[in-house]
Amino acid sequence: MQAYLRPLNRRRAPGYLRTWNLKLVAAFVLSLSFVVAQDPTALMTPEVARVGNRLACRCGGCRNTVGDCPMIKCHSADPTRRRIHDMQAVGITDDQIVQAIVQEEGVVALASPPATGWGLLTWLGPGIALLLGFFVYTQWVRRNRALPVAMNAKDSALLERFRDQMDQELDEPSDKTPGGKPEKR
Amino acid sequence: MENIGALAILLSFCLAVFSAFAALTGKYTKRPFLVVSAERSVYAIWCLLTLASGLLVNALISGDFRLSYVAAHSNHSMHWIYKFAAWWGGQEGSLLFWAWLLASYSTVIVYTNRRKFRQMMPIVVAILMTTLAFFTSLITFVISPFQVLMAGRGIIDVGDGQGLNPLLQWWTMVIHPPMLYLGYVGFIVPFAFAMASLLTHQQGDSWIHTTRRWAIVTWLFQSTGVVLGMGWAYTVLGWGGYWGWDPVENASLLPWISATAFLHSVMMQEKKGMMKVWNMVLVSATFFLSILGTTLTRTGLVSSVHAFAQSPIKPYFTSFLLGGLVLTTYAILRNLPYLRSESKLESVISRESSFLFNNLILLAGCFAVLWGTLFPVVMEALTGEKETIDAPYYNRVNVPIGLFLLFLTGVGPLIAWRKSSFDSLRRAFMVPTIIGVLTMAALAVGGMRQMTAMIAFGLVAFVVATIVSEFFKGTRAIHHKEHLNVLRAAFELTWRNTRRYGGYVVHMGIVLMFVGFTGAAFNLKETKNLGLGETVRFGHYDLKLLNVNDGTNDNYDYSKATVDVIKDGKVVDQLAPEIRMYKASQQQNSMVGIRRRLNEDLYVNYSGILPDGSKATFQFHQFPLVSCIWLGYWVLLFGTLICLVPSKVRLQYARTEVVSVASVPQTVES
Repeated sequence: MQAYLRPLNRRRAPGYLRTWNLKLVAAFVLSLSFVVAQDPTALMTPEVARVGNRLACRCGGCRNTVGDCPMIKCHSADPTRRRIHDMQAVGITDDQIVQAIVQEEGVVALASPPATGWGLLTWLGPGIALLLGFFVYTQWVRRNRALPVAMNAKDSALLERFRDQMDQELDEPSDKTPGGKPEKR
Repeated sequence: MENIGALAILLSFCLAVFSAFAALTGKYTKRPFLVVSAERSVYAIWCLLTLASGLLVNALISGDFRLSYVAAHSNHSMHWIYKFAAWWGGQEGSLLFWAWLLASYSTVIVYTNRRKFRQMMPIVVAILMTTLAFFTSLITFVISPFQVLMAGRGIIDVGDGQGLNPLLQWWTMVIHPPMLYLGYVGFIVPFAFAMASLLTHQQGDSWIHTTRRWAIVTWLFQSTGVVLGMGWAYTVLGWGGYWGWDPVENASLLPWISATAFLHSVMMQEKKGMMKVWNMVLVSATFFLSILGTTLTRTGLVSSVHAFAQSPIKPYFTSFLLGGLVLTTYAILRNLPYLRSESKLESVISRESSFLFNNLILLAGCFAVLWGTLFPVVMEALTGEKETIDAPYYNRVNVPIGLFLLFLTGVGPLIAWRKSSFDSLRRAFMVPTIIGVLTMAALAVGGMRQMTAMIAFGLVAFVVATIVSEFFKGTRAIHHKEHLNVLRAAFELTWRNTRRYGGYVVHMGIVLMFVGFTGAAFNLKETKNLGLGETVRFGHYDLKLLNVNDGTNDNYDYSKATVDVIKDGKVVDQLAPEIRMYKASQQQNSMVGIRRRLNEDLYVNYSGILPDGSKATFQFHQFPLVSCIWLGYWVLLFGTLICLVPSKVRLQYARTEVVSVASVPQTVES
């Protein structure tokens, strides 16, 4: 995920990135020809949605991703879908498309924060809270656990007899089970 | 009229301040007349706020467009019910509505306890009135609902208004906000009693007995509000979803989760005298999460489709929230010795322990939602970099938590109070576990490959089996013992312990909702362009566009499409989704067409006509099992109402106290 944040052309890019930049230029030029003519529903393909699901729709209203924003003419999702479509048309991979958009718009473009840097804290926060809660739970149990109470064998047998009787009444009830009617208000 | 309204609010603010001070002064200087005066002020405040609310509603309905609030949220062409709903449809009006609800609750509390809890009531009144003073101060000094439109030095009348936000012109919106507010505002009552009990060092758990029903009713309002909101999102927003993890949706969920945790753990205090600090924390957290929810909705702290725009009230809300948190924390810490447990935990494998564990997981879910909601705001403040946290984060974090909670829903009721032996656990869990595993196996054999959905359905089967077995065992015992028929025996069983068996019914409602949520794993979605008379295949339906008609009325212009739903060659339904363009606000809104069935909904959203006019664009959705969510709500409602009925049998619970330390060889407990 950190790769999203890496500048593409600050120094001389490696070979595969140079090829990729050329593809980006080609995608941009290609997209100009589509701008007017393309039917927006044509962009709602599973391929576009696959990448779009990793990007946030930033229309300010819905909280959907670009992939599942249902507004066909959404001012935020629609242009992004078009970009994804055009980049895919020239063979740019999903990761590279996401990386390019994040590089341009920042991590705010991602539907969920990256698992690096501060973003990692978002993912770890609930887990840490749960561990902390579990620690508190174990401490509470330790502190509040009753110390073993001495019981003699007679009490123990009586307790077991009552437990057996209760289980028997619930599992195999019969008309002969003892016990009176409950106390009424 | 506006002067009378503004004056009424100003007077209610002054009286709220007086009432809070008088109640405390009266209590601590032992002057009962001051306490009585404080209590009577509550009635006066309710009258004043009712007058102010009545004047505002009258202005909205009669169309007094000299008032800026009326001009912004009402117009001539709106139905009167939406004009009435405009009372809470905007910032200022909703704060007045909040204050009026709080005054109404306070009046009920003061009246019903006029001869009870004389030690606690002054503190209760002080807390209620301090909160009310805060809200009335906002609508008195910061954003008045009676602000008039001015041009120079003259008042102007704009003739007609903007109208209510089109998204809010829907029948559930007339009920949803009041329900949610009844929940938000209602949580202050258990909080006030809890604090009063703590500060007056009351012996026993009187505050719990007093507020238990109140907490349940408030929780029910909150549940209703949340579900109505889901229904509204599903039918009005046209997203094809009922929950978008929007910050304001999250804000309504947070106090609901903590209140659910409280309703479970409070039983521990009632029955065993345990977890007093924990309950105090939970009831306080619920109240402050309600205030946070209001803050998120009112102040524009986070961007949301529901939230009002940025407003000047943010610093006031933040200060109130922080001040309240500091004072409450101080009060709890200072009075910790009065919150000691009266009994001890006998075994880790016990109902007590499972309640605590259930609380832990509920709060983990609550924290995950809170974290996701506030993290972008905090990060932006700290680093200046914006971050987005949308549905993928919430789903990834909360789905496992939700599944674990579902599991605990089944486990909890089967574990006995005080202590369970492994043998009794084996007996209790064997059948439900087998049913759960068999369900998963059957689904796998049937071709289901979504692991999460399979686990969810397995857990659903497990929980249903535990609930049914609980009813079955009890009913059979009564049926045999008292010779009642099965239905009468089940009724008798439930009546003898309404809280327990009503609780099981509530659990059943939640389980049904989980079935609905799990159905989302099988959703289908497609976007298609259709010409007149053209048919498209979607799922197991053929959908044919019959016609598209345009029209107009006083409130909006519309374009309505008529779509035949064909299944196996027969027309089974006709849907009429439409797009509306509201004249006053120039805002567009979709009205979707839905074919509701228990097993699935067919959902058609009409998006418009292509620029060349040749075809209409539709989004078709198939939502399997979504009806289970709404059905689950009705079951939950029924179960909650059962819980509110007094039990026929007064139950008493043994409390375990430490009497000695084991030192003899015959020890059997460990």
